[in-house]
Amino acid sequence: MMKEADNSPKYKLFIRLLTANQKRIYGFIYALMPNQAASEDIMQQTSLFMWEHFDDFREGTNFSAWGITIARNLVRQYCRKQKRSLITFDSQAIENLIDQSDVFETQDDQITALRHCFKKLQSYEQEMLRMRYIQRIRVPEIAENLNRTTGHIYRVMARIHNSLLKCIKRQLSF
Amino acid sequence: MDEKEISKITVYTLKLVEQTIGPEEFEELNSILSANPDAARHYNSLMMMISNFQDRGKEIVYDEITIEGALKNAFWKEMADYERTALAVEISKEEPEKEDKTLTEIRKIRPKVSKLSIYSLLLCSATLIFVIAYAHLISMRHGIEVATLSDSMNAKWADIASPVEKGTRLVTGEKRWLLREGYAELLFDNQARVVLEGPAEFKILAEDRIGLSFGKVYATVPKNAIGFSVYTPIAKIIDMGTEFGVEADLGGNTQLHVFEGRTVLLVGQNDHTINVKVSAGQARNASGSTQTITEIPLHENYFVRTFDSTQNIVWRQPLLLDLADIVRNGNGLGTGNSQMRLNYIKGFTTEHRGGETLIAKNYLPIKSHPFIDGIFIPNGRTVVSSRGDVFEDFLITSGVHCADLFGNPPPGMYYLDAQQRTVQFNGQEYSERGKSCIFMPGSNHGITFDLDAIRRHYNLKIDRFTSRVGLADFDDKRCNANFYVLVDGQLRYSLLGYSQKGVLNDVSVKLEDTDRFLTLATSENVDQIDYMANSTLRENFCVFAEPVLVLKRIDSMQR
Repeated sequence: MMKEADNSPKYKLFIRLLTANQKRIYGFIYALMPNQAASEDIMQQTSLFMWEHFDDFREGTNFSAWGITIARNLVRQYCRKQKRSLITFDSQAIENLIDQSDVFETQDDQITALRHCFKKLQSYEQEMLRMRYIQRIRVPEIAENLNRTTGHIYRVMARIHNSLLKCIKRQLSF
Repeated sequence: MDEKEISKITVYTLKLVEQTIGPEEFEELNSILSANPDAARHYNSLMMMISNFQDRGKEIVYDEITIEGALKNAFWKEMADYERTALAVEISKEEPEKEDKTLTEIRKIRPKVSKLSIYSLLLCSATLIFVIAYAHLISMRHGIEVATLSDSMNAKWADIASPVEKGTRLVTGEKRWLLREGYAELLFDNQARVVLEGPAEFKILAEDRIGLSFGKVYATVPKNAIGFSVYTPIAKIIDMGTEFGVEADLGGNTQLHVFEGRTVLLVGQNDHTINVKVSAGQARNASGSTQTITEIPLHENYFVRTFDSTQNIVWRQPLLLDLADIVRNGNGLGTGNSQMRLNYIKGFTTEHRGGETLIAKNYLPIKSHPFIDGIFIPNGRTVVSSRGDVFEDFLITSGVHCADLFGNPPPGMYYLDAQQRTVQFNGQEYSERGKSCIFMPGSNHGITFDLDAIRRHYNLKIDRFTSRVGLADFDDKRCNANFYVLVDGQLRYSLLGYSQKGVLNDVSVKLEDTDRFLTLATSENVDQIDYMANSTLRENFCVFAEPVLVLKRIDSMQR
């Protein structure tokens, strides 16, 4: 279907919107289904469903929120069909995660708050996050680099992430 | 949810994202999320934040990335040019402080940089380049008091108009501090301590960060201040709980010498950052021109580690007080007299004694030296301090002495069988030209140091006493001696019936603030039934090699 329409303005608009939002939608799916294969499968289904129902989407409204709503339903459907494997959450956990998934709708606000809160961190805390997310060094390697145990660095990282979350919550009051 | 549970969820989530989570941990996370909607909400918030960092990380940390990106080689070259002339620049007027430099504001002024540079070139190009450099270097919260000038000695500051005195609070911001001469100690509110040696120029960048444009700084960072950083024009040194020295030279190079603990040295920008772990006993040079890091020898005495403005004393070496130097009537820092020895009748003397055997029954206080409480001959129950501390368990000896007590004796000063002898162990000389030692020839020696007097004099804590004890191998005669270390009359170390010559044995005695007297003693190990047949009095050449008190700083503000 996509190939047939790949030169149409509608298709180009869809691709533009999907490209701009797919990481966000995928992030939501991955949070529910922290399994790369399953997440990609659902992302693919979500994209297809969105294209098929793109006529229902009104330009100017929130494309990612629409995608997240679709993905949410598809995750539910996927869980009903698939037997739970070792690396996916059980249905009750997923239901809880879906119930609490409104936080993903504040993503743009969170970026602003995150920038604000990042500046409030101690310099070494900022450095740790830079190592992890800018230089993309995994925690075990950071631990080795700093001559600390992996467990210790995970705890430090957890503390940093939690303090950021607290700060963001204060900023956004959610 | 309590903090512990939140922390657990976060750790598991971070592991989940990195795919390092174990099956049991995943199952536990699943259980928590199934049971608790709040946990699910926390998890979702966290995942969204991680997703944001992964997708838009550079945007989130944009300020510093952009700033670092701006500091490319050309810019550093300008910085280096500035530094080459910095000493000649008289700072008469500060740039007006810009409040709350946001990224937007920095971006707005960026087109003006070239104008400012031209203007600054007319006035004093170097000065303004420096200001701009640090404005770009880091996003700072300005005007926050984060450190105190806790002490200074012979300090001459460039800013004569506003004198910098002990107790001055230092604020984050653009202000440059140029220490032309002397020494200054800064105590950050997080208890990180830095000692600057003039000439040096620095800025307070943040509550845990100092910018050193040139000069030398020595940092002592307690565990609760881990992460304290020193920024130089080309490098960042991040502390991991340690003591280290940094020098930024005028050629744009940075030297890092680590004396305790670990640090991370970062050179370069963004994805091209070189990240090197530098641990105790190691040193590195970061080249300003090539931005490469090379290994260099550690210089133990290169940095001023602390100073005592009341005594006008500078400590470049590890904080060690040489007890051998005190035994030769010195202050422990090398001021002793090689002709001085301690005699059990006369106290300090320069007279040579003939080697006759004398009885000394009483504790002899040494009032002429504040650090030495007294000397004595150990023999059974013996008084070991002027306070009357008694040690009951010295082995019974003849109670006589046949030689004086020496500290760092001159080479060849001891005659035996008409030959000059110098104390040596494994080819290492222990004398005034070699390593230090307290020499107790003929055994039967005791000396007590007054730890309180030492603490008071140097305004320092005493952490421990360390030494290496042994018998000098002067000849093939037999020997048999006892070594003792006492604290307030209580035995803390002993080596009894020792007869192996030429070997040194490590001694380390931890000292508390409440410990008053440290006693070092040696004695002959005699046969109590037939003393004369078995006396080793004259064969024992007892040595306390490298006898030092390891000192620690106390907070200067408490002095």
